[in-house]
Amino acid sequence: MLSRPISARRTWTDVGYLCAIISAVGFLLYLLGTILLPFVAAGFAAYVLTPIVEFFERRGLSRGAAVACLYGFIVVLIGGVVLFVTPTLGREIMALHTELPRYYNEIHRALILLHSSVEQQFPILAQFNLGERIAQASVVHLTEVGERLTLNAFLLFSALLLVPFLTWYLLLEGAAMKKFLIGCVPNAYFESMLNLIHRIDQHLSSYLFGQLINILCIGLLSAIGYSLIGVQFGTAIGILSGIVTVIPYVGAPIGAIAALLVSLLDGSSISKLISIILVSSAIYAFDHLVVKTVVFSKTTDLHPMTIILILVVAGDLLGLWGLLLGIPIFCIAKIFCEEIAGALKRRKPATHPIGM
Amino acid sequence: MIDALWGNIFRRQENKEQQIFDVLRAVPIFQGLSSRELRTVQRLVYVRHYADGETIFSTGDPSLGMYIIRSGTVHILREIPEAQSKLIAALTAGEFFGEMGLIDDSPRSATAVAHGNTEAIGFFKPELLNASSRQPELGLKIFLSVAKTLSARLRLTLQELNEIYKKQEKETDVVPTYLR
Repeated sequence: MLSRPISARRTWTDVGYLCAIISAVGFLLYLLGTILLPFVAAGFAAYVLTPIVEFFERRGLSRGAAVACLYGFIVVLIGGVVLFVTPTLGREIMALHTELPRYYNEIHRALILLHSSVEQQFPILAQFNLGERIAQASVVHLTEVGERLTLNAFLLFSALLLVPFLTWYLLLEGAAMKKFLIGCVPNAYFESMLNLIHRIDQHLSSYLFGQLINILCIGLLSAIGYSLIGVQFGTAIGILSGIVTVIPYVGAPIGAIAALLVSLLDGSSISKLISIILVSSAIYAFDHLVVKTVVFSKTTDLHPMTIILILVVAGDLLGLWGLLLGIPIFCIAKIFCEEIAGALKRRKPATHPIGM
Repeated sequence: MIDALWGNIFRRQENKEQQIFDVLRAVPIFQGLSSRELRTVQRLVYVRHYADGETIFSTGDPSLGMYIIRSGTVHILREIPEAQSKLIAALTAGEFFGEMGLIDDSPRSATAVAHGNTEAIGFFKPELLNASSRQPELGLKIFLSVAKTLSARLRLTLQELNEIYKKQEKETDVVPTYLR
């Protein structure tokens, strides 16, 4: 005997339950955010590093041996960074710490001059006292950033101990855990959920791994490029350029602006400024023509205006995290909605067969 | 007593795992695989339980993979627009269906419904593709087996079609298009 026909009302009820479950899970994650941070970070790290583990598995290693190789490779990489990069970076950060008050004073002086000339041109602006307001707001903002950095440093330290440990087990057992969770889905939605997870996996995996390669390439090229042309704090600016390159359209100029700003404050010549622009342009062109083309096997397939809209909204809602994660979150939501829409379209009553 | 209970739980789990292994070994698609490769496949499959009359998949659903019947019966139905569905086949334990879903992305061409309480082992393309990325030889063997199975079915279907058209040709003297 066949089951009763599935009505559209029941399907929408199921969608409602699903949205309620997702909202409840999201709210729980929000409440327990700080405690769950190492687990989320470990999950993220396991997800991004899985292609490297699979690379070793394709060479005939078991899963355990492949994960051990990956960790060995990471230890060597960290050792290399500590030996070769950290001394330079440490010197630059110490120098930046020493120069920061001078940079602040020069920027402050330049802003006051700009403010005076603007008020001379447009006397009506004097009543708004913009200079003092901007100065007060920047002090408050810097203080907040300083406090957050201090707190986050503590969390970072505790996470650094837990994250490698959790990532190890997620790399080993993550597939089994995922299979168990998918197995819990009711039959009516099992294949749809499997298809949904597979599609999200395909897009997200290639996007995140591609971004990691992109960060490493651009960070390395920028650090080498800026150091070669004699930009002060070239290594630190290069690393910053690598990290912010994940933000579409906005990320690439940030490194160039930082290098130009530092060089201007140091009183560098015009030729040096031109060199910085040329190096930045070359890195940007290489990134778009070579790195992104080769590394990103599946693009996000979004219109540039859509990307900008997502960045604006996500940046407003979640700040820096919104800029970094807005695009992948939107892609996941888009796939999710497409699957739900497809499932709703395919819902039709089952009929009694002939011959039973 | 607790040790006996604990041991019994694990023994039941081991028995169930062994039964699934035996079911997979009997499937023609997996017969070229070594025991180690078959254990890999066993880790990838999902065991699903269906109540009497529950739909496993419907016509038009995305094809994700195949099912192997472990126990119970599955009716394969062809849905006819504005008419009742037609029963094409009734499959029992050990038989499999939906294997075309491992090869292409076309929607399901029939509906599968459980007849009585049914347990089926699902083997899906996403899991196969993931396994193939780690063990290319395993993926190649499975895809080759599926292709051979489908090829054999296609030959049988063409043979039957040939016989039907030859019979029709004798009656009507019209040569079918594909025989010209």
